[in-house]
Amino acid sequence: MTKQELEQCIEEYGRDIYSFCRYLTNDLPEAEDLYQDTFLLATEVKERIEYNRNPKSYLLSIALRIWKNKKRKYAWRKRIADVRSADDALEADSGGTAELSLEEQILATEKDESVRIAVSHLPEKLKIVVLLFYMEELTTAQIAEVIKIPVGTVLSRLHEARKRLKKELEDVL
Amino acid sequence: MKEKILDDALRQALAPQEEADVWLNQRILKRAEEKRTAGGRKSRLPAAVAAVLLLCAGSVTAYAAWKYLSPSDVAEEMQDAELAEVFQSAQATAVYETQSCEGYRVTLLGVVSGEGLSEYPRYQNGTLAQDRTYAVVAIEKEDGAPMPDISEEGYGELEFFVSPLIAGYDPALYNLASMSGNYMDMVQDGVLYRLVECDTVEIFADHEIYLCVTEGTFYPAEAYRYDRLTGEIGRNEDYEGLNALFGLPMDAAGADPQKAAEYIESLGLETDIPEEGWEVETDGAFEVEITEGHQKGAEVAEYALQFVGNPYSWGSDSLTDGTDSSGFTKSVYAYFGICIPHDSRGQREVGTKVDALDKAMPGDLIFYETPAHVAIYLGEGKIVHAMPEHGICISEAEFDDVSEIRRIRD
Repeated sequence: MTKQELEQCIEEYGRDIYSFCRYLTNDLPEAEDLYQDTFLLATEVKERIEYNRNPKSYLLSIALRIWKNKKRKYAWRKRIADVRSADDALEADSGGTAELSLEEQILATEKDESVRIAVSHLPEKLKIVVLLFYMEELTTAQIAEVIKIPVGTVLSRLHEARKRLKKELEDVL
Repeated sequence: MKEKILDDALRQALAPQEEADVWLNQRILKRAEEKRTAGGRKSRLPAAVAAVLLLCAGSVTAYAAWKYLSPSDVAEEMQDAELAEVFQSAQATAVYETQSCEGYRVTLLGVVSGEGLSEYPRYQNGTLAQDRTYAVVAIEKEDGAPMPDISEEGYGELEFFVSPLIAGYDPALYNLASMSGNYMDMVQDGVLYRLVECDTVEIFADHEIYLCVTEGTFYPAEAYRYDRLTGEIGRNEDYEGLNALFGLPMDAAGADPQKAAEYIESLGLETDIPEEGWEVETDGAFEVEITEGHQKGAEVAEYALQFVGNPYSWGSDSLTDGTDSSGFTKSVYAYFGICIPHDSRGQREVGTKVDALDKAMPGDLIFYETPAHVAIYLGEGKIVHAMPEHGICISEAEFDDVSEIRRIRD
C-alpha cells in the first residue's frame, strides 16, 4: 500500500475502525494501539484479493485478529487456560469493568448511553457480532467471513445478544 | 418490546461517530513510512551471522536453511498463529530446496496439508473450504538486489505465479487459479516470502505433485511441458523466463483416489465434448466472408483468427500466452474497445440475441451446453475458440450443442 492509499484508507474507514476499536477494547490506550496496528498491518501484509473485495470487512478482520492474538498472549502470560467451549467462553468473557471510559467519553442522550453501556456489558463474542451488525452495518454473511464462523452461529449469537439486551433495556426503551 | 425499537436504538447508539485524533493518524503514516524505508534495506544480518555465511557458502542447503524465515515464522508474520503452529508440527514437511533460474534464487521452504489448519479458513460459495494445502517459498534476486517491498511501487510490477501442479492433470486447467487458491506475500530483508494455499493436493499423493514458481498473474502455458501420455510435467528448457519446478513431498497415506476423482468432477473443468466426430485446425487458414452490413463482425472474426495455435490456460485472458474460452472472447472484443465480462455466464447477457445458427454472422458469440464454453463464429459453420488441450483452434460450430447466440457488433 502506498502512502497515498493508506491516507485514503484512513480517511474513508478511520471512523468505522476507530469506533469499533473503542467499543471492542473498552479502553482508550488499547483502542489507539489496536487502531494503529490495524492500519499498519494493512499496509504490510496485503492479501490483495481480500482487500479489494471489501476493504472495510478486511480491516475489521485484521483488528479482530490482532485483538485475539493480543489477548491470547496476555492470557498465556497469566497462565489462564484457553477457554475452548463456546458456552463457557460466553460466560467467562462477561466482565464488570466496562463502562469506565465510555461514560466519560460519550456525550449523548441518556437512552443512547444506556444502550451503549448495555452493549459494553455483553460477553465479547456477542458484543463483536452486535458491533459488526449495528455499528459497521455488515450483513450476517459478511460477519461470518470476518470472524470465520458459520452464518448460523452469527445468527444465533445475534439472537442471544438481542435477547440479553432486550432484558437489560426493558425499562429504558 | 418491539423488535424494531431495539434495532433502531442499537443503530442510533452505535453509529460510528468516534474519530481518532489527528496525531494518531499522523503517527500511523509516519510509522508506515519508517517501515517502508526499513523494508528497503538490504540486510539486517548481524556480524556474527555474516561470518557463518562465509563458512557455509559451499552448501546451498545449509545456506538456505538458516538464512530464510521458517514457514512457521512466515505464518506468524502473517498473523496466522494456528498455521504457524502447524508448520512446526510433525504434520508439516520442511523442504529447503533451492533452484536458481533467470536471476532469481527460489527456495521451497515447506508444505503442509490437512483440515482446519489456518485461523482464516476460506469460504467457497458460502461453504467452508476445509481441506487445504499450504506451501511457503522464498524468492530473491541472485545479484543480492532487494525485492521491492510490498508497499513500494515496484511490487505491483513484479508478479509471481506459484502453484501446486499434479502429474496426470493438465496444469493449464488444474492450478492455483482453479483450485480455490489464494496467496499472501511479505518482504523481509529483501526476500519475498509467499504463502500459497489451495484445496488439498494430498488426496492426489499417488501421483507426482509439483510446485511451479514462475512470473505472471496466471499459469503461463509455455513455461512447462505436459506429457499427455505419461502425465508427467516438466520445465520447458527453451522458455525465456522464470520457470522453477519443485517436487512437492506428500504423505502417500493421504492419497484418496475416490475423493480426488470427486474433486476433479466438482471443478467441472473437463469439457465432456465427444472425442470423435469433430476436427480441430490450428493453422488458422480460414477466409472470413465479408457481407454487406456486417463488416464490423467480420473484422472481429479476422482479428481473432490470427491467434489460432496459441495456448489454453484456465482463468487467463492473454491472446498470446494462454487464455480460456471466455477470456479469449473478452480479449478479442476488448481490442475493438468493447468491454464484456470475463465469465461466460455474464457474456450471455451482452449484445442482442440471434435465433439460430443459420442466422449467425461472423463475429457472433456462440455459447454451448457445455458449461462455460463460448466461441466466435467465423461463418460457413465454423468457429474459433480456446479449448483445453488444443489451445486456440478452429472447429465446426456444431461440435457441441449450441445453447445461445449473441451479436455484439454488426
